[in-house]
Amino acid sequence: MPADDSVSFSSVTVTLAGFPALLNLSFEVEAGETVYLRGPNGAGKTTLLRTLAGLEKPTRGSAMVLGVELPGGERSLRALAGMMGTRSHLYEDLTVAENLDLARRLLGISSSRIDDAAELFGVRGRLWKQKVASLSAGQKRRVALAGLVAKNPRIWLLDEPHSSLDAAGRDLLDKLIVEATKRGAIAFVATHEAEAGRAGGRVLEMVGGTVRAEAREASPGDEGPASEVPE
Amino acid sequence: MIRRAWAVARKDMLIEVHSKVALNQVIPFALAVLLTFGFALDTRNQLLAEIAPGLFWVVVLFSSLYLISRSFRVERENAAMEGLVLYGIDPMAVFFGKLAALALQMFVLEAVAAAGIVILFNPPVGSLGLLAISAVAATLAIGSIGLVYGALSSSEQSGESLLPLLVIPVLAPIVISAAKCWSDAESAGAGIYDPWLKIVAIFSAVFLAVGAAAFGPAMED
Amino acid sequence: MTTTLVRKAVGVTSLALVAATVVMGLFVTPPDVVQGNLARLLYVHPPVAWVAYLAYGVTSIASGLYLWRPTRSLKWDRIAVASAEVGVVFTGLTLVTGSIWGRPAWGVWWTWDARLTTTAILFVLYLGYLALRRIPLSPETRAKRSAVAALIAFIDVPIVHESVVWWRTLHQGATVATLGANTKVHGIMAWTLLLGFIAFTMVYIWMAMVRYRVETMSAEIEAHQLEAWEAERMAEADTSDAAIGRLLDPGTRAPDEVPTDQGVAPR
Repeated sequence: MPADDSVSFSSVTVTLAGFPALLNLSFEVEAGETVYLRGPNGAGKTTLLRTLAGLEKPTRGSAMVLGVELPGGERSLRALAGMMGTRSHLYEDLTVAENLDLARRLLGISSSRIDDAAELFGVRGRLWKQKVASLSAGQKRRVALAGLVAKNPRIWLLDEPHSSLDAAGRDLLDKLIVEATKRGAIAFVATHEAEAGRAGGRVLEMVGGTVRAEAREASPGDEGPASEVPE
Repeated sequence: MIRRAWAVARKDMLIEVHSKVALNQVIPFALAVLLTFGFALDTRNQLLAEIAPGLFWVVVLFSSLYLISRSFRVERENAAMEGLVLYGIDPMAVFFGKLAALALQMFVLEAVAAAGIVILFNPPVGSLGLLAISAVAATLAIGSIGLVYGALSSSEQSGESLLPLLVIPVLAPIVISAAKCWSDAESAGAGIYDPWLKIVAIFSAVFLAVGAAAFGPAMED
Repeated sequence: MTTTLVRKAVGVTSLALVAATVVMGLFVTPPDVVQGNLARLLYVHPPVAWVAYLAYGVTSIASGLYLWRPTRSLKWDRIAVASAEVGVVFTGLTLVTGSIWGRPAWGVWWTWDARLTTTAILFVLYLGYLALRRIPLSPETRAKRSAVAALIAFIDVPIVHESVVWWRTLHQGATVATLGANTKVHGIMAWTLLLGFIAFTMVYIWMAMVRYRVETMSAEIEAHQLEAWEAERMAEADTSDAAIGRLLDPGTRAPDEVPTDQGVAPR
């Protein structure tokens, strides 16, 4: 049974400009799980995240994400999902405050939520009134993450989230994922890093647009070798 | 929906407030074109006054194309439009929000260009009301069609140079009828009960409806 | 195979009909009392213009059928582009034959008559449509976007026509009498005109069919490519599985003395 807060893919193929970026992909994820996506470039990690965000449509097969059926329910899924891709989605000509204020207006949330989120990621102070164009890559990432936390999505979709973040930012993000999943959210994290799964959770090894192997990390901080479980 | 449309409009206006592309680049461009017409057609004032109505709308249309391109360029940086889409936003809210911000910039452009034409070429002005109402209607039509084709031709690779080719022929009826409104407004007895104003108003209503209906399919892929 | 036969039959028929139109138009029909031999353009110009409008009509209907979800199929998109391309060619021919006729008849190559102006705008409008199609996008996205553009063009054409008519009539009288007014069409000339309409319509159907075939073939090539890519992607996964096996399974570890550049694990 596809519970309201789980994810299930059955034989999903997503073609991008004729190329099968995802091929015949099937998996199930329960509420509260963290899934690390690993694999070489072009394995389909980003496309999987974009499909989970409702930005790409399955061309074959079907999926159920948080009670939303794909293909078909992309727009309602977008409202539930929180995606942080390689692009920040920020307006370069607006200040940090204005970008987050736009998020507040579109989400219909209180400004104290935005303030808290901005405070958490340290973009409330000196950077607050600066144009995004003048920020560094890591600072932009912090602003984008603040918007993501303010949205409080039910499914977190993070593409290489650690890139250009400093150690404090990485720890903060990891902690957020742990806390969000504790509260029933699902997190998908695409990463090249070897320590994927150090916060606990599943590791899906993707190759050629599909999952080739799965490993489960028993406890946080466990750095042992992943056990290969063929699909 | 209205709240979100306002958020989008406010965002586009703030971008203009910070970047001043319309104010510092597009409006001066329109004035430069007017001056160029003056040089190219010699200073035979009679001719320039006669062609003033058509000249005004040609200059406004071409300058507006820059504003429309700009309106989509800011959405392409950092894939910001994708960010809007990720809020589960109704494309209609994006359309009306962007249209409001674009129309506001076009009104300023039109006021400056009209003042420039009146000062430089000295055509008679009989009815300001007719001029203003026809300009509002034509602006909404140009904005609507421009936004739809901006969305249709937007892609990472190309599209900005395609926009004029797509927009200009579609808007030919607006240029014709709006220019005729200005011509009629030159006569002393002109008022807002002008046959061309009715025509431009009907066309604008059609283009606005077409734009609102087509923007969603054009934006979401 | 049957479609190939039909296409060939249509091709042969249309060429034969055009040849017949040429013979009838140039040699059988008499010259016109007023316009002389010039009136022979009557057998070409109106049929060509009719085909242009027919082609855009087909493009509009096919685009509408693509956008309507129950009938959504890339087939309609292929019909739309096939028809639009032929339409642009025939709009060009309409403008050229009209100009050739207009120069001796009216003394000018061009006049801002309502029909001429509308046709000229139509030409540019669909050039834009074809240019829009050249933006690199996925087939579905391209189909959707160009269908929207085709429908806007469809709504726009009557508006353009009306505005140009008012533009010309509200301020000055129509400058050009309608084409057939000073040419009495009867008897053999009427039949030749009818033949011209049928011949050029057949040419349109044939060209659109050939163009549709080209679109279908390129879609097939893309589909083959997709299969090849799928196979390649499967293989990607398998080779990596095999590589993992080679690297991790016990007993496959290479002894230290084997030179690495041989690249083959010893038994």
